[in-house]
Amino acid sequence: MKILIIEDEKELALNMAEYLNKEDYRCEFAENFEQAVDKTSSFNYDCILLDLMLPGGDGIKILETLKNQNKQDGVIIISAKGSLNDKIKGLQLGADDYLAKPFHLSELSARIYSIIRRKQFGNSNNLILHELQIDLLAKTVKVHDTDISLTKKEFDLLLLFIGNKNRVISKNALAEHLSGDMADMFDNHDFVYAHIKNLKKKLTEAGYNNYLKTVYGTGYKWEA
Amino acid sequence: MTKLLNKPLKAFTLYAILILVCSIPAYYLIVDSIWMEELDEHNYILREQTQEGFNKLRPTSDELSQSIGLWNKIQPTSTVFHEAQNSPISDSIYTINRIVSHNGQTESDRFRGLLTAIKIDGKYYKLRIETNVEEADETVLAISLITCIFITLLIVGFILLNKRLSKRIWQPFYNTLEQIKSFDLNQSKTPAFSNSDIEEFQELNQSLSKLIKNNLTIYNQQKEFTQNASHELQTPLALLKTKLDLLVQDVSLTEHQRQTIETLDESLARITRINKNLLLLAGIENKEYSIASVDIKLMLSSLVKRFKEYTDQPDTITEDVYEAVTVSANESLTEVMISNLLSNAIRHGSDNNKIHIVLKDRTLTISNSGTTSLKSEYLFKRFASASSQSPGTGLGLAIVKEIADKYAWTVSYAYKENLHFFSIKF
Repeated sequence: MKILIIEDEKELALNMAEYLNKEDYRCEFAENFEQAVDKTSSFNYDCILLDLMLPGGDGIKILETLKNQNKQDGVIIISAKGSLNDKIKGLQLGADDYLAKPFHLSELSARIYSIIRRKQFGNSNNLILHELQIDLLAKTVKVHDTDISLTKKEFDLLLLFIGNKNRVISKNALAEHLSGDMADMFDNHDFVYAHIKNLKKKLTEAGYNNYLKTVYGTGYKWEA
Repeated sequence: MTKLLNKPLKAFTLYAILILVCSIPAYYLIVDSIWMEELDEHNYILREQTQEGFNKLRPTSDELSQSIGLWNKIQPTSTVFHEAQNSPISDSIYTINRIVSHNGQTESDRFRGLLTAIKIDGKYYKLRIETNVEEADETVLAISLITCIFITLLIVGFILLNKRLSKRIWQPFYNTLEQIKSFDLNQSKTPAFSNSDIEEFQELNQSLSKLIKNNLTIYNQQKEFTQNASHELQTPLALLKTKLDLLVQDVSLTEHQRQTIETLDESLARITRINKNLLLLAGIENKEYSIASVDIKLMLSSLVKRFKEYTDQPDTITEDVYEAVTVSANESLTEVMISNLLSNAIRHGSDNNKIHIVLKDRTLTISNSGTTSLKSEYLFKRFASASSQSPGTGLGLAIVKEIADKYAWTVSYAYKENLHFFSIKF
């Protein structure tokens, strides 16, 4: 899997790459507008992480060019602007997702994972992970062919873990993932505990192999 | 409070009354002295006529005595005395009050008298002429009456003129006042003062324009600064966050180190939220938000559904939504406003928190359990509630207020029977 990180802040790009490399992704970099245009026009990527504020030009133009060329690369806009209008504009122009800075790497990884899955498998998006069967479209989960009824939040959490296999996800990253777009949402970790506890309980009752581990003092990890 | 124009009106009126009252004795004295002079002249003329009349008769001494008797009878105002004298007597003038009866009524009348002598046939006869003068009190009364009428006319005139003046001459001033009253720093509309041909007003308008312009510049700079500072912070924050994410992957970390990282992560999460909210707050006033028709009822029920997903006790939220409310506003901002109120109610509720939502009469009210009333004057201020103990950013309610103000909705807070009520009137 090839990922292009278009980001002028080198250290941040390296951090992203370090996290993603462990996931079987190969990362390439573009530090300015010119490099970005060069790479996006010459190669195909499974996913492009696009910072909108680049030295030398507006990142939105790269997105427009990609769409004009009918390229199928997945695009996640990563912006420091964080304004609601930028988000709407980016998604309207055909970006697959939008992530406002600052973000957790686990969040980024989960989003990349979901975009690549969507691009690769189209409509029949069934994910099989050992005894777990996840239908990403219908949002249903089966363990050993038994249906498990998960709430929306529990399903979201499960996808976050699946998109960050063998990584430690901090409680703050989980809390932020749960509260999503909400402007002033909870920092209360009790909510996180409650949802994780329920998810774990439902999966255990259906007989999964206890992949979800607690990392004391930090958070959780899906070991598989 | 009195109006500016009423102050000189009072002074002018008092001064006018004073002057007019003082004029009463002055008029009296003048009128009276003119009277007296005229009557004295009149009395002298009478004397000349009397003297002439008698001399024309050329009477003998008997006839004279008869004529004098007759004269005194038909001319009661003048009396000629019978005794003849060889030398003239000096004239004397006097004023006297006499009790006179006429038409069966007796009253005191004032007379101006002249005691003199007329010369008939070389002999001098004493003559007394008395003419009725208007009494002093009657004169004073008449003058006072007239003065009172003039005072009334003056005061009525002053009041009417004052009203006209305040409407006409002071109009530019009231225009300016109205403009300043409706001026709001948040709305980038600068008041346009109309030109005035009155120097003071023109100066006032110019000074105000300058003052407002300076204030707006400073305000915009401050807003821009907040926005830029928040923007610039995003990248270093992202760097810190991702570094910590990478750090926790290290399996060789001790538990103590993990706890340190968690504390760092929590502080960082808080800074991130504050920064995000500051950015939002600074951006609300920008006109860049598109306006659409927003169904509050629909938005509310979907938000409540989302909030119930977070909590493991969805029963704490009850709804009483029985009115469709549609507003013209930006959808995202409206959503931020309502969700801030909801998360506020969830976060700050006491144990066994019960959250109740009511939407009726174009008013959204969200109530939650509480123990003490909050200080409403600080509630909506930035960072007013922030402390190391409180988990919030201290900006949630400030954002609510800012968004409500943008669309001229009214936010209010009340505390009744152990419940906090936050309301938005659309």
